Formats: sequence, C-alpha cells, structure tokens
Amino acid sequence: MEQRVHSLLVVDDEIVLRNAIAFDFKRKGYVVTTAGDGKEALGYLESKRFDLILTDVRMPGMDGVELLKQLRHQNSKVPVVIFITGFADISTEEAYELGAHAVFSKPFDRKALLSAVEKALEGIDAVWRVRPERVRFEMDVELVFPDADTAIRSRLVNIGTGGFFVTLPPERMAAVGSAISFRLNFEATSMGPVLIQGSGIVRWVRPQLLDGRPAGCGVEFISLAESDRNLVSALLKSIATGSAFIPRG
Amino acid sequence: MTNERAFLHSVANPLATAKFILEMVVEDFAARENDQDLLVQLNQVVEAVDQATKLLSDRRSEIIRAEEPPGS
Repeated sequence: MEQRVHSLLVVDDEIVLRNAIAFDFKRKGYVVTTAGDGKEALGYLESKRFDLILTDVRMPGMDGVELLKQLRHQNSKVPVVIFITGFADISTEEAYELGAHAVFSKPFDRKALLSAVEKALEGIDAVWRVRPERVRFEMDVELVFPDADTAIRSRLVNIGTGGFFVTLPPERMAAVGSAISFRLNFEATSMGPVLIQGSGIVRWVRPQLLDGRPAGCGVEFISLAESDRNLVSALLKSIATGSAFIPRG
Repeated sequence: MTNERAFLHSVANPLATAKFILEMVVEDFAARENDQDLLVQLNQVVEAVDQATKLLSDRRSEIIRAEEPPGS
C-alpha cells in the first residue's frame, strides 16, 4: 500500500533551528514548509493544507499563542506541536490548554520530537488503541465522582481531547513524566454512569492552589479501552470543554 | 519577567539549536564505519551539551516550583 506523504509547517524565528528541523524531517520523507512567525504561517495556511504544525511560542510579530488561537477559532483540527522555553513565554499547562498535541521545552530531545510528530499524525483514536506493554505504573488513580457536571464545575476533574485534569492532594501528587493507571468513575452524567479507565502519562503538575485553580495534574491518555474511547468522545460533546488537549481544570 | 528568566530564555534557544543539530550529526556518524574515532569525540560534546541542558532544566523546575507562571 502506498504511504501518504505528510506535510509539515515549521514556525520559529530561530532560523538555524527552524532550518535544522526542516532538514531533518525532509530527509525522513516529509514535505516541509518554514515560516518565521505566526503571520507568515497563517499566510501559508490560506493556500496550503498541512498535516501538522510545529511552532515556537515567543516570536516577533504574531506569536505561537496567537497562531494557535486563530487556528482553533477557524475550527482547524490540525495537530500543533509547541516549543516553549518555560522561562519567558507560557507554561506546559497553558500550552496544553490551548490545544497543543505535544509540548517541548527547549532544548528538547530530537528523537522525542520525531516520535511525537509520528504519534500526532496517527490520530488520537489510533493512538488510544495501542496498549503499551511492560509499562510500570508509578501510581494508580481511582476516583469516584457522584455527578460529572458538578465535578467539572468545581474543578475536581476535567476532560479534553488528549487527556484529563484531576485534582490530587499534594501528598499524592505524581511527578511530571510518571506513567499512571486510572479509573475515573462518573456515577451520573447525561449519558448515565460512565467509567473511564486506561493508562496515561503526567504532562504537568500544579503543586498547589494557584489563581483559584486547585492543585492537580494534567494527564495525557496513553491507552483507553474501545468502549471508553467512545464514551470519552461522547462525554466531550456533552460537557463542551472546548478544544483543550489536556484541560487546566 | 525577571532578568534571570530573560537570560535563561535567551540561553535556551541557541542551546536547543546546538543540541538538535548535534543529535542529528551523531546519528549520522554512528552509521559510518570509518568515523568511529570522531564519534567518540562528538559524544564528548553531546555530554557537555546534555549537562548544560540538565542545568537549565533543573533551574526551570526550581523556578516553576518557587515563582509565578512564566507569562506573568
């Protein structure tokens, strides 16, 4: 079967890094276009279709945050991989909330970037199907919520297209990068009782109450059972959490 | 934004470029039979860059734990 060639848009004002990333992906068979800021990227997006966008956040002219907001405003579902430094731009938490499929803190591991791009291009549903083997879970999270709406409104839990936020007490907080297994039991939703179980990886942690947001962590789904994939999709429609990949809660 | 944050931000970008290109070059050299001596030298540079990356990453974690979010 002939494999489709994927097209990427790389947006970064750091010209040497931008060209190196483009070079690397081109030699791996991708078609790559480069842009120096969000405005130039939007110009390309008017006339070309891309399978994935890799963008830096802090750039002169239009930055990566504004680019992502414009894309989501246009209901674009194109996966976006975001580069941050975490010092003078945005946090990992904020980047996922904006709908990023993956977030990399500079300087990042090149192989991890290549892998994240491949994963994002597979599509969320295809990724969820793959049950990882030999994963050692560092924590089991098992929570019961009497009512999904109330739990989400009170920021105990929230679900996005790529994962979930869950409130955890500081003494039970997982570390960034930890693999966890989870069982989220919603006793009442508009669809009746819903149990979502699977495995995930902690992408960010809010160790304490901040700006009225509770302590907790953002977990990206690694795998979900088939029935749970359908439930998550239906739950997302019913609770309307927007386009957040992993919501902030 | 503090001076330290601005400084670390400006360090992160060129370090990211160096690390990315270096990892690409090392991968290519690793596949060549005749350049193994040079690969050993290159791996010394990789170690140095990884050390700098770890210092930056550790400081980022400390700042996140102790201070306000980076956008503020």
